[in-house]
Amino acid sequence: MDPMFSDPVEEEEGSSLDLKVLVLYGLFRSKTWVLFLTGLGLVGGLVVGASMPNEYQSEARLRYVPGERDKLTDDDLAGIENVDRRGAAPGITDEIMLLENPLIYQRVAAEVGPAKILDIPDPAEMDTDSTALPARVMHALQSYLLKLRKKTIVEDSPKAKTAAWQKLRASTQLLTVRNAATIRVLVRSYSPERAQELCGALVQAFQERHREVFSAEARLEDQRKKVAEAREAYQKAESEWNDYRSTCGVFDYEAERERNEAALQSIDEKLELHKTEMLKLKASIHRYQEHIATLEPLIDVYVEPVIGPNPEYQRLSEQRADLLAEKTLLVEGSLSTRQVELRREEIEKQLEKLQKVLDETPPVNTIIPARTERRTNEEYTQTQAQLLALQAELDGVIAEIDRLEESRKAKGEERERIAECKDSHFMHRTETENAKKDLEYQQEQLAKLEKLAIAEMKGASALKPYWEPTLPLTKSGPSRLGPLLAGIALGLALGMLLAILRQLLDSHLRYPETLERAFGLRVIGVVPESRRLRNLPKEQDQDAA
Amino acid sequence: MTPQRPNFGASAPLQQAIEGIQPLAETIWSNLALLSQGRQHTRILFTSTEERAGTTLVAAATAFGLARNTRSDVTVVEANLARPALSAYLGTKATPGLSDLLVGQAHLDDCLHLVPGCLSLAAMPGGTSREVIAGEFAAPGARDMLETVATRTPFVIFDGPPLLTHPETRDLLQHVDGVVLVLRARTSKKSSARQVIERIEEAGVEVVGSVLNRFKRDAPFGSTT
Repeated sequence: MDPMFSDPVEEEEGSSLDLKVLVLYGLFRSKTWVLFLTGLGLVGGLVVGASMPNEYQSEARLRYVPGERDKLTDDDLAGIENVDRRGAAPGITDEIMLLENPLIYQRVAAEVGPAKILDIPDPAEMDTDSTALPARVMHALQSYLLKLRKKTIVEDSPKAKTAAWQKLRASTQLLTVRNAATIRVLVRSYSPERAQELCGALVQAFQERHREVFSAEARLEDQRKKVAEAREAYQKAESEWNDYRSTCGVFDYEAERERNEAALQSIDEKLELHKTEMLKLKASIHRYQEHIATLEPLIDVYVEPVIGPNPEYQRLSEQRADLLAEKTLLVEGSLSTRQVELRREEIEKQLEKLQKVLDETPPVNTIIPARTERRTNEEYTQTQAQLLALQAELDGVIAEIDRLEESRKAKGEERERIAECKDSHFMHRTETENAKKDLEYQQEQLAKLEKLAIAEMKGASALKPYWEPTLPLTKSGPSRLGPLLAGIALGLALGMLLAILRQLLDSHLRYPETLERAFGLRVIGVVPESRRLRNLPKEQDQDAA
Repeated sequence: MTPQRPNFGASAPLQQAIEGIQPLAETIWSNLALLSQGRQHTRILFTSTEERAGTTLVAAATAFGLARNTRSDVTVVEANLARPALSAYLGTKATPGLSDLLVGQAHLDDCLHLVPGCLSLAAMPGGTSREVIAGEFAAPGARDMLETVATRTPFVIFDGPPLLTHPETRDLLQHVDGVVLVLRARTSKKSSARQVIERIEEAGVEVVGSVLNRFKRDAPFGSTT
């Protein structure tokens, strides 16, 4: 059969759940329940809010001024080098994290006792004649509710202690003040006096904790051990290095390497010079050899006659000289004047005769007459001698070159030996230097700690009270709006859930939308509920006209 | 009785009922009137998922609307033999009717009663109230008769009993072009509606629409058509 309508209602896939029907219609349909449950939630919220005891907050402030001791981080004291953090003081945030340690709260809770932290005082007991009536009513309600839920606190029970410190921690806030090195300590409790007392106890505990953590005295012994260990390590490294140096024969690698390099350089320079010299000598020798090849070893030489002094003449001259001397020396003494004059006359006659003879005697005469002799060529000899000298010099140079090359070889071997030692040398040197640095560092730290330990004995601390704990005059909480709103929200949510469930679980048809959406049926008419129609008689009259 | 105004001749409450829902039935008959395009006869079955869904009232009001506004002849046949109520709504004689026709105790023309005040509307009431004999509507004689009735006028409305509890309604499906499902808000079950739709579709007949009766708004907004 052809479809009668060309545009039948198509059921959307997966859309049988109509949110409008489910939620909106459901809400209106179940409005009584929704309102009821919301009201119930409101009442519940009111009751819960009323049952919450009043809280009072005390505040104290601590000034945080970190000193040298506080700069010593655990890394520093462990000897771990951390360049980025060295010298940087722990910040105020770090300090707060330190103070949030549960141990502090456990200690304070144990000191003051669980009852002071957990026990809730009866608010009605604090009412006076001046307390407003609504407040009194509220206090009476609170008192009643508290009595209902109050449990006896057993001071020594582990459960009570745990509950106490956890409550204390939850009631404490640590805050910073902007642009100031100040920590605000805020502590809440159920009465103003307790809040102040707990705040004061916590402040003291915070100061003690800070001292414990950064105590220099506690670390001195450790630091001394570290210094001893560092010294031992350094000595060991140094000893190992010395042993190695003895083994490899290189004591100071750098110095010996430089010396070796200098020696090699010097040898090379000398070799260079000597080789140059050798070449020059060879060239000279070659020239001399060429020259000597052009010379004769023996040559004819004209010998000049040898003229020598005539011995006769010399004799006569000597005689004359004697006579003259005698003449000169003649003096009256042993001889008379006559005798002297006679001798003088004699000498002069002799001198005249000698002179005549001398004049006739040639002073020189030819001893050897001129001749030609076969003699050694001086030039040849000299050249030969020079050649020999050059040769000798060349030999010397060559010998020197050989010696230098031997020396160079030895130095080269030495250089290789030095190079072989390099890595191990450096390794040992580095280890020794590092060990030395570490030792110096640990000694430095020990010196610091010793100074700080002295300061500690004098009571120095980085955490100083700035405000004493305040006594609160008005309550700081709790906020009862929260439970109230939560109650309303919960009631409303439950009401809506109920409404939606009612719609979901309703097996009957109620809405045209359901017919269209769930069944894909076109709704061509909706007849509203009518009292008139409801009460129509259904049985027919047989003869109605 | 000559009607001054549309008067079914029924008791005042029934007349008021028809008139009361007449404006609402406008949408029903106007939708059905569209179906007649290209057809010589348009045959619609009104049925429901359970008793007292208001099927007869809606069918009567629709038939009346069609007769008055389309100026076509309309026949409304009540097939609920056990609980006939059509004559009471339309102010016609209750007998003879379909039940009498089926057992041969009346002729077809005798069973068709013109509705006072709307002469283009002929009603075949259920007739003498009785339980339907199993397979009665499927018998060859009944089928021929129903076919004759179904082609009597341009519009033929069948007011059928609930399909799930009255198997005879299924036999009527072969004589109709479409089904209007009348459902009672807050009473008719979704599962029953699903079953009815499945059975109608199994018979190869289209569900042309549905009417939600006794609808009550839960919210001051929402669809009503």
